[in-house]
Amino acid sequence: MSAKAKRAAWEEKPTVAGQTAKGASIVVIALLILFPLYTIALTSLSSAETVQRVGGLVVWPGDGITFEAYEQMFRNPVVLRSLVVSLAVTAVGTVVSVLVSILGAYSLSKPGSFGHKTVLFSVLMMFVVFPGLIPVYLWVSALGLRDNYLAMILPMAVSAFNVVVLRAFFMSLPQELFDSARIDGAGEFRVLWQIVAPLSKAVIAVVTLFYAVAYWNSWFNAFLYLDDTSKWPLALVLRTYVVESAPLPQASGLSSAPPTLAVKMAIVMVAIVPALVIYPFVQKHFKKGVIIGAVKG
Amino acid sequence: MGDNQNGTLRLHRRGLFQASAAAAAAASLAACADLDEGPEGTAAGSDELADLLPTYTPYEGGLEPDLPGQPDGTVTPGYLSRPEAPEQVVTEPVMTTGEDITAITPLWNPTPPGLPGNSYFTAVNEILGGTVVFNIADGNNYVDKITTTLAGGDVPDMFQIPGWEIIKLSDFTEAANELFADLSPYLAGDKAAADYPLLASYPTAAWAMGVFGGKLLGIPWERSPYTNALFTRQDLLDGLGLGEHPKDLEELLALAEEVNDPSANRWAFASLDQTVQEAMGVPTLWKVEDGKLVHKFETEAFAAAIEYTRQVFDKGLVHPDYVADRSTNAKEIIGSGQGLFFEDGVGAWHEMYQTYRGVEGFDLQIVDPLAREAGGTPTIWRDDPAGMFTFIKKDLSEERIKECLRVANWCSAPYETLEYDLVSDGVEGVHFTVDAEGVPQRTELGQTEVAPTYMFLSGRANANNKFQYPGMVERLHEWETNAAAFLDPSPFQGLRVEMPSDLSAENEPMTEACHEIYRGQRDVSEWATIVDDWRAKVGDAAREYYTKIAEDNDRL
Repeated sequence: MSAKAKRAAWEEKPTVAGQTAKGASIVVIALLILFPLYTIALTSLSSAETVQRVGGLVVWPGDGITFEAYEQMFRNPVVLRSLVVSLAVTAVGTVVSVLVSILGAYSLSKPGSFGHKTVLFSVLMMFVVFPGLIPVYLWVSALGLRDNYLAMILPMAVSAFNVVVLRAFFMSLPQELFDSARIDGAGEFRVLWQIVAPLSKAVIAVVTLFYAVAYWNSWFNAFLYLDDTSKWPLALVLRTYVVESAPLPQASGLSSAPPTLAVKMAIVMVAIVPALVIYPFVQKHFKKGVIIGAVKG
Repeated sequence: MGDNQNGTLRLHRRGLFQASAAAAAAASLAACADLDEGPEGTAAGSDELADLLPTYTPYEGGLEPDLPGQPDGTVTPGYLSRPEAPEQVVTEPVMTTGEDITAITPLWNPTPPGLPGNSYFTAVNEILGGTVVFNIADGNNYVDKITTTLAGGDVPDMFQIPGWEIIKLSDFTEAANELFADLSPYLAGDKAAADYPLLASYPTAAWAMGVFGGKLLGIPWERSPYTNALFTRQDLLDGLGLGEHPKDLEELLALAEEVNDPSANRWAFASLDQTVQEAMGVPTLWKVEDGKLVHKFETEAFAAAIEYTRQVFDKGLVHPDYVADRSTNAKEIIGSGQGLFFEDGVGAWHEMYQTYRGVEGFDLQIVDPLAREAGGTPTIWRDDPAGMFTFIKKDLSEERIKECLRVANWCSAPYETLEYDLVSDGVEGVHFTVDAEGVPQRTELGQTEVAPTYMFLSGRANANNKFQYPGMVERLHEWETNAAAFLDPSPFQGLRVEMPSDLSAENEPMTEACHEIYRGQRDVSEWATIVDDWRAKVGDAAREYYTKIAEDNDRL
């Protein structure tokens, strides 16, 4: 009895009421997350007439589904091309970012490396000081990257947050591993690729996801630096559908209606589906990677 | 329109000026026009600028409107049909140097394909005699494009900058004078009428808005002075046997109470705010009382408007979506028949028909300006005579500047001309066809490729020409004629005043405070305290600033 009394609340056998309350809470939270997604998906699959009649997002199915909105969106050749651009920029950008971040984090995880304190301080400064829009624009222009795909990658190639997360993880690895590798004659690169990287799969997967999602959603750099619409990524092109069209004083477009709510919701679906599809595959690493990396720093 | 512009203003700026020390070093990379936080405010009067502006010369060609307009723009000319064969008014190619013209223009529409894969651009360029290369930028973040481009100093040959973005940029005038060409040597007096007759047909008040720092830099986009109108679902009102429009606020309230029926999913209002203020006689911004400037927040009329609107909310006459969020899409509530009255820019009228043409019996009508009480006089808020401006790069040769002006002139062709069709809808038979009612309907190709682009290289005369919706042209003409009599006799009429940023920054909190009172989160009696705080914070300083402008221009 006395042992039981000493037990903390969470060590007790769960009560039926407690289990029910937990279950109910989880269901409510899940619904709060799923319901908006459901209405977005349903609206995107509804006809313009249904959306008009309902006066907003469609909640009840029953009027049948149609792919009109998706057809209308993909009829514009710019949308398809931008899909290719986005995939390419996301792929190349993610590889560049992950490589540079791993190299940077590894060197910063070694006290005594060249310029260690200065570089580390600079990276940490990025958390509190943002360089500002105009200076970055001037740098990109001065480097001749205007209207160049690299302008979508280089300005956001390294995230200080991701570097710090990686560094913390690398520093948590046992020193003995490094020592034994050294004794076996391994150089820094061999240590990094054959010892550190395989042991850090979890955190690297998470950082890769962060970068990939950031590139996939990125539109602002393209907006600033890419003059030619054929180079625009999907996020920027789709944005032009989703934003409220502000009619002009005596706007033309006499006959072309603005994108309907169904089209806008179809766009939202296209924009979020890739992240939804990828996420389950890295979810198992997510817990391991980020939490371990964060608390061991 | 007003709402939309407000919508644009609401957009957040993304920390443009958070430059660090490192950033400052980067900034020195290029000679750039400095832009600090928000304007301190300047003003220019049309009287002293008369020598800089083109002499107003009405465009004589084309069709006579069926319903005549007013030269001051208060009543838009009305057209009840489309001409059989629109006239080509500029017969010679306007681009003659063989060089491309680069242009940055905003876009609020789906992205069109770029050159060479866009037959609309190709066709118009062929007629122009050269290539205009557009750098299209998302209109909702356009201020970022403007600030970076101005700071970089690398402006295109032609640059469209909306007035609602200009007011966010301090030192814009200095930057503009450094980067954009003075157009007076090409346009002042009778020069415009001789060389650019379509540009000369803009009202003088609109041209005056294009003067920055004592120089004519911007080609204006003329706009109608009306910012707001009350609309109603006439078919639903008629169905209830209550089709007659109210004349004053008392009648509006009585009618609203009769039609309101939440149990039938029907509310009287989908939105309500400015209409009540105009009916009460609230000025657009300032009015003169006893020789002194009084801000609209300080007027008895504004307090009365708040009290009235609170009453409407308290009685449950407003759709819950609008109660919860004042930026909710009232159009959707009206379109679905859940609301009977809503307020919006005048342009919303035909947009609603365009969007809801599929709704059976859909009939939306505009309500004449309401008075405070029977026999009272409303104040209709007056918008600036020009809303957007096209600038031409300064360090172009004289011949290139003339070429840009010829392009602007070509793009300025008014309704009923071939150029207007090309600018608006492309080539007939390719990008649009004219339906039985005489209305251009975009083809599938037109829907994909035609986007408002050339349109932004100039302005053009307004036209009331939505004749495809029976009765709209006549009714809008009648509404404008009625409303014109009540336009705010603002003490700053004809002056281009840049609002100080600290005053404009308070607009949003004050509007939110009003809505908190409407919703019942604050008491009506708190308004006096809110205004006192506002006065101490920015109001008195703003009054001083505006008083000086009014005195300098003999308005006080």
